[in-house]
Amino acid sequence: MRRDEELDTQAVFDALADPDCRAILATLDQPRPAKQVADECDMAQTSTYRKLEQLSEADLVSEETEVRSDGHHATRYVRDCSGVFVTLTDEDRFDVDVLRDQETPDERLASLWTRISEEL
Amino acid sequence: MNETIPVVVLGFKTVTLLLGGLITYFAAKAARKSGSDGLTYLALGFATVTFGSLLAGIGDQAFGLGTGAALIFENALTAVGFAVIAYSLYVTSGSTGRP
Repeated sequence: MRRDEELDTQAVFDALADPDCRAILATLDQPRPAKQVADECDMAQTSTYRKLEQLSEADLVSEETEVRSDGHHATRYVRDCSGVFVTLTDEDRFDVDVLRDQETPDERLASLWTRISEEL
Repeated sequence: MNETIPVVVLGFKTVTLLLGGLITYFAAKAARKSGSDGLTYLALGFATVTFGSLLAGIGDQAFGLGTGAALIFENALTAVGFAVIAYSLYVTSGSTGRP
């Protein structure tokens, strides 16, 4: 559990340390296919796919699948965060809190309760 | 009904039930999604507080529990419910807290 969390934290740091990932994240204010992301960021398509994959793994970008009438499925990417909080905990660990854009009430309750419990 | 209950009380009880039910629902949903024990206790605690008041009312009105006994029952469930909610904070803080 702790190990997984450290891996997740590392994934977020890695993604944000990458200028290309940041550029992609900044443009993805609405769902776009990878091709369009590559155009807008002026990047090669292969590396765009790689960076989008990296951002997805860090949970900073989410993928949505659009089912089209011609049977082809198009994957579109959208930003899934509005900011990231980094805190140094009492146990001298780095804690990363990703603020979600579209937070549902139950997710908000869960993160709120976690924050209250951290005050103990 | 053995005695009439003021409409205002019924109104407040209804609001309490609706809002308590809503919070319970969101807590239960969050618990199911994250699988976190702390949130499960939170949902349980809110359910106890919310429906304890309803149960006591039913006991009083439908089964002739008596207002005194019903009051004790209701307040006992409120105390238990809040104990469970407080406990859920400790469970949440004990776990890593993130789904």
